[in-house]
Amino acid sequence: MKDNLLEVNNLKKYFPVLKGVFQKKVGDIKAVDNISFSIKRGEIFGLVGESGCGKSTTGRTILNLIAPTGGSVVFEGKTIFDVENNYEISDEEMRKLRKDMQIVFQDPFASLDPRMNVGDIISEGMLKHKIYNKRDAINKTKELLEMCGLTASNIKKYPHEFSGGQRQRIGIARSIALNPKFIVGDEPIAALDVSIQSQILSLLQKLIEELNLTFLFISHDLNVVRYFCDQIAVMYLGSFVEVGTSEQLFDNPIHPYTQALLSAVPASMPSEIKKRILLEGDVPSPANPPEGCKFHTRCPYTKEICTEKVPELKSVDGGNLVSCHLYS
Amino acid sequence: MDNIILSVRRLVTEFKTSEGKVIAVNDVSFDVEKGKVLGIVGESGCGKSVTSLSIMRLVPKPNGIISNGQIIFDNKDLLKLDDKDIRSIRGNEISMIFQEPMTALNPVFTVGFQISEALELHTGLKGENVRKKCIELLEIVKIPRAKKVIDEYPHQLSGGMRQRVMIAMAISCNPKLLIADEPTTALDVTIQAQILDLMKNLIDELDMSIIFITHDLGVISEMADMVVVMYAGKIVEEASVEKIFENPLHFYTKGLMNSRPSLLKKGDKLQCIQGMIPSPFNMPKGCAFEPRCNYSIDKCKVEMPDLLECEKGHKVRCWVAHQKVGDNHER
Repeated sequence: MKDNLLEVNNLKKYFPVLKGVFQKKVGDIKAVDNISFSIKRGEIFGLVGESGCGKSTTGRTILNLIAPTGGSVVFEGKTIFDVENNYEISDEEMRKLRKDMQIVFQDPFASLDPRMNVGDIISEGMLKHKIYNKRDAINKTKELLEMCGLTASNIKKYPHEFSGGQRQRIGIARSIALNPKFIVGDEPIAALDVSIQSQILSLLQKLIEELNLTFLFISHDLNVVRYFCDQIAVMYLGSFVEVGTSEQLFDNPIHPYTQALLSAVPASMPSEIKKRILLEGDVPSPANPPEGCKFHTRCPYTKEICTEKVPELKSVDGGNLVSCHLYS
Repeated sequence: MDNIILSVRRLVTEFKTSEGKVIAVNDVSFDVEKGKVLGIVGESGCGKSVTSLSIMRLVPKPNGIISNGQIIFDNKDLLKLDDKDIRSIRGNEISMIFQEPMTALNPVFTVGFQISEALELHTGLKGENVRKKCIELLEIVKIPRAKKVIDEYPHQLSGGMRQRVMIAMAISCNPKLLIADEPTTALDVTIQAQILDLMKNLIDELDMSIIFITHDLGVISEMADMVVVMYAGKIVEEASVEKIFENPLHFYTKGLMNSRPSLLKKGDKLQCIQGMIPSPFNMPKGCAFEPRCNYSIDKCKVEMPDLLECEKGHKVRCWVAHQKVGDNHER
């Protein structure tokens, strides 16, 4: 058994809704609502869901980039925060931990400082953490650039001189500069063209293998997640509806939302076009989510209990974890 | 031919920029059949959107110029019409849906007002009748509570609903041709499935033709009858959707197909197309795809191949593919 690198327990992140002159709090947007999971060392964990379901917020809260509302995160046996027990890691300790936890952002145009050259962008972390002196940092940066499929001579160039795919390579080089153990990829390929997507995906694959990384891969592209990830969690309105291995989840989806989501993916060949499960309507607002099971407003199998009680996330037949009253 | 609604012949569209001339669409020809869906696939910058803007005569002036070609619609060359005549076709006989339903609608007018604008102009309906027709259209595109939505503003609607409003607007005058430029790219998969389903139903009900522009091969496989693949301003392959997916001939099309993880099992190696699209200021002399192609021959470096029919109804622009068929197509 591999040990757990990251453990997330009952994580919550609510954003307040403010109103009026005095900015009185009138409600909460429950972006992340009570989710728990763990990632084993060397595993690629996929987080899928539609826009607004809280996948990016989850990624950022885990890295302590935004303050959590509830729950705890344990990284390599070290508790980063535990809101219920009023514990938060000291700034000093957190800074040390940052070396081990990095993030790659979605938009390669917004995530690089246009006034810094590539060398400065990638080596900034190394110098801050005093891992290398200036000269070694430059050498290491060149090495990283080559590793990520760019030439070392690019080191003095500025971000605007690169295409989207190349910028994403720079972003990835920055994220692995400190030899991290864990990387969050927040839709790292969503903004890129099809042929560039596959280039970046195989780069990530190569790096994960060579550097023995653990990866949290956030995406809305189900085909990519199926291919890329070991474990997958499907999110809907801030909660997990189903968790399972890539094979289990795609071969045998159990939750009605997962089934609808998978059937909505366009066929890869004209000969494979099948009847699909069409969901009615839109995702409800997270400021005012439905009572009980959050999916019951769009679910074709809604029963009375679904409108009253939140279903628990439970294992069905020893396989996927599913949160649905049909199976409890 | 009678069953052809739109015929684009040798279209060239250029843009003047401070760094020189960019040829965005370079000698593009294709036909759209009545009641059929033509899919145009390609990556960003390949000229697919400029092609559609050229058909609508909406290429931004004065920097964009359609410098050559014909666009025959209903026995008329759209490029020769004056502004008044093209206005009577645009939005009436040919209409368009855009990628971003958030920016394509005007935020300060109600949905009803925006739909009725084109209706009043092209059909001459007035007053209560326009409103009735608007509600009818909103119901056709399956918007719940159409009677209320008609008086709402775009910000009150979700992305999927806005795209439905856009479609309602586009079909309001029973167009013969609908150009859909990445209509589902900005939407979530479940909403995308709803919109694609709606569009399929509309094709059957309204008997219109569609030019469907997208970079998503999955969407193409669902929607299109004929497919045109574009690369760096030129068509590189043209065939029926079955042929394109089952037997792609151009190495770019093959590369695109193989770079989709949807066909791979876990653990399979991902195939990629190396490199990037060439800069429009620095186009290769021969085949534009040659620098990224693993199978290029000497000829590819020096001369651009023509788009030739290699099998019946399957055209491709590639020296290697031409060679395979033999020399019968040598010109």
